[in-house]
Amino acid sequence: MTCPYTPNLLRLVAGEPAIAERRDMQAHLATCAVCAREHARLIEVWQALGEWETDVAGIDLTARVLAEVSRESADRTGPARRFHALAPMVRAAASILIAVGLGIGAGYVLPLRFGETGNRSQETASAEAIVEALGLSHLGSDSATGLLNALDADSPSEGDESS
Amino acid sequence: MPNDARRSGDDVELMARLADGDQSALAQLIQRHQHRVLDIAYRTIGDRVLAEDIAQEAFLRVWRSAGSYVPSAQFTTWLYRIVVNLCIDASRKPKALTIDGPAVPHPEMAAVSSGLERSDRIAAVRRAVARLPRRQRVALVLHRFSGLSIRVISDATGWSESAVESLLVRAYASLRQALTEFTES
Repeated sequence: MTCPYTPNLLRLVAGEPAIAERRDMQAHLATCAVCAREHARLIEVWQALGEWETDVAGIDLTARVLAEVSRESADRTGPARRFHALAPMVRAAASILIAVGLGIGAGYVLPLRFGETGNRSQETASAEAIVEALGLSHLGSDSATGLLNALDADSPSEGDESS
Repeated sequence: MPNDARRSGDDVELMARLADGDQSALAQLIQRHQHRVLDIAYRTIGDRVLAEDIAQEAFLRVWRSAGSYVPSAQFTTWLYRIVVNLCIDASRKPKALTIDGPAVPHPEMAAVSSGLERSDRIAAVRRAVARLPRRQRVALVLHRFSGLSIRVISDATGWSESAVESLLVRAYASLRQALTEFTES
């Protein structure tokens, strides 16, 4: 047998209701055997649980938490310091990327302006034009031609692979 | 002004100071609330060291969130929500719920039979609470030991009031069964 009033008993045992509501509940308990029995059981459990005390009062976490806060605050500035340490390497990498980009760009653009045949393909760029685009013209066209010749000489020929 | 409201107002003020970088405000918040936080964590998790770690992490989260804190509810409700979430996360890990500390008193103390009986009762209570399902345990700790109303528990956990009530009814029923030996004597 149940009573729709029973769930309210939790509030009563915990001392939640205001005085007027508590008075109504107690009046109900006087007339409802189901709730009266349930209320008595709840009181027993409530009191049994009350015997479990914890001794956390002696613990003080203040210093421990503030130390952790200081450590985390220091770590927050850490990444900036690490970036500064890496900055020279980042700058070097960026320079290389820009140089490579300019080289590739020169390979596409310069044939339009300086190519002997007017063909847009990379192959039409003359050695002199590439050298000029890379800012190496001060080395002279002989040097550029020599450099390209040297690269050709280093490449394995079909004959070498087949042998 | 009621005490709770004044205290809550003070907490909000301390949070504002903390957001401005005043770490002494954090120290004051810790001093005010650490024992309640530790009590909830210890009773829910059952391990003192873990409870201290949870309490520490809760206050660190308070510090980290100070800049974005909006006092829409009581500070304590917000703090308890942090603690409850940490406890639930911790209780998912296998080591939790060992219920540390001596279950029975030292043999010399046991000479006093009433002391032994009380100690047995306390050990039984701790075991019974530890065996409750996680959500029932959280609701019970907040209700019975922290003295929070069902509405505040609902706010702190994010569970509906009817869900909290249902969890509590089942928790108390389980405990009554588990503690029959002691409650009927």
